Amino acid sequence: MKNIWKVVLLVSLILCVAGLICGAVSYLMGGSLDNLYQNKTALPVLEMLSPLNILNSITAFFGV
Amino acid sequence: MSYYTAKYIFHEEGLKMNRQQFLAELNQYLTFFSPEERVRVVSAYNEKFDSAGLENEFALIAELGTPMKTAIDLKRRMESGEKIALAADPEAREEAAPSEYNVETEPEETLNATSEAQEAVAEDLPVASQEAASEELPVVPQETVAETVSEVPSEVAPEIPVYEAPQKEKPSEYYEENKTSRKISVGGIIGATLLSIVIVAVCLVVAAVGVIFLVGMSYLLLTGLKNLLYITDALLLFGGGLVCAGLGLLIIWFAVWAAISLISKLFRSAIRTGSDKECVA
Repeated sequence: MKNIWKVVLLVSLILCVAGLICGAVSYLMGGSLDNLYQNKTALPVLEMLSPLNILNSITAFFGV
Repeated sequence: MSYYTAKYIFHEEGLKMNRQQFLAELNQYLTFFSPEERVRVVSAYNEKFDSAGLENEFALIAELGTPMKTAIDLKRRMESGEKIALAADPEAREEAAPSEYNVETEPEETLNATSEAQEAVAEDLPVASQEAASEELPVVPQETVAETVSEVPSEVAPEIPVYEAPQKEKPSEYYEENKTSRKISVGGIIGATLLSIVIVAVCLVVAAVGVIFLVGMSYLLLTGLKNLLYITDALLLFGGGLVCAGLGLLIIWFAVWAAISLISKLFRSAIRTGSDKECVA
């Protein structure tokens, strides 16, 4: 169990650091979330993955 | 036949368990120790027998109880963090072990040679060979043994310790206690099962959150691949996807780990409660 924990933590850390590096490089190149939301290809995915949309989906699934 | 031989025979024939059997059985139960620790624990008990002496060997066994009880005591002490007295030098103990297990006997005696040879055969050879060997060895009749014991001079052996097996005074109460403990352990297991269902449900919800993160990761990475023309947007999408992947993996593993560890602890404690009651009974 401890070994699995170590592997999972290491992989998660690597993925998160890689993601942050990507974000940082993009920011240094002039990218921003506002520009991303103006991208028509990315907009549907961003809306779908927004926390509000996920909550709505869950409540709709459980019929609340 | 000498006093020692007679005594050995007396022990072998008249008593239920001797030192060798006790240590061998104890060694089998000590699975919760590492092999090295097991050797040291058995050596420590061997020392205990040595210090008690041949005269008090069976009294010590009676005091310790059954090997299983001793092993349970050791496990409890280990779990409670109590320091268990171990033998100082295991390697030296291992080397000295064969001589420690020997019972003082005269080599020229036929009976002694027979019993030693039978033990050696039993330890070393497979079953088929054991049968063949036991047929070959001469069998000493019981009458001879009885005569030998009666011939032991009283001045040489003034007192031969007689081991009396502890008798259960009230067997009916014992069985009633056992019934109660069995009911308690069954109740505990039913409770643990119900609680484990709740734990599984909670862990499934947590795992679902992790799955949502992983699904989000896949969508973000695919969208990033579609937007490779706009490199800044693609990098942001890749970055978001990778962070989602890391978090999703962590959350899913946490849910699995929590479910496994909580449920196993729950059932272990339920079973332990039942077995404790049985031991007390």
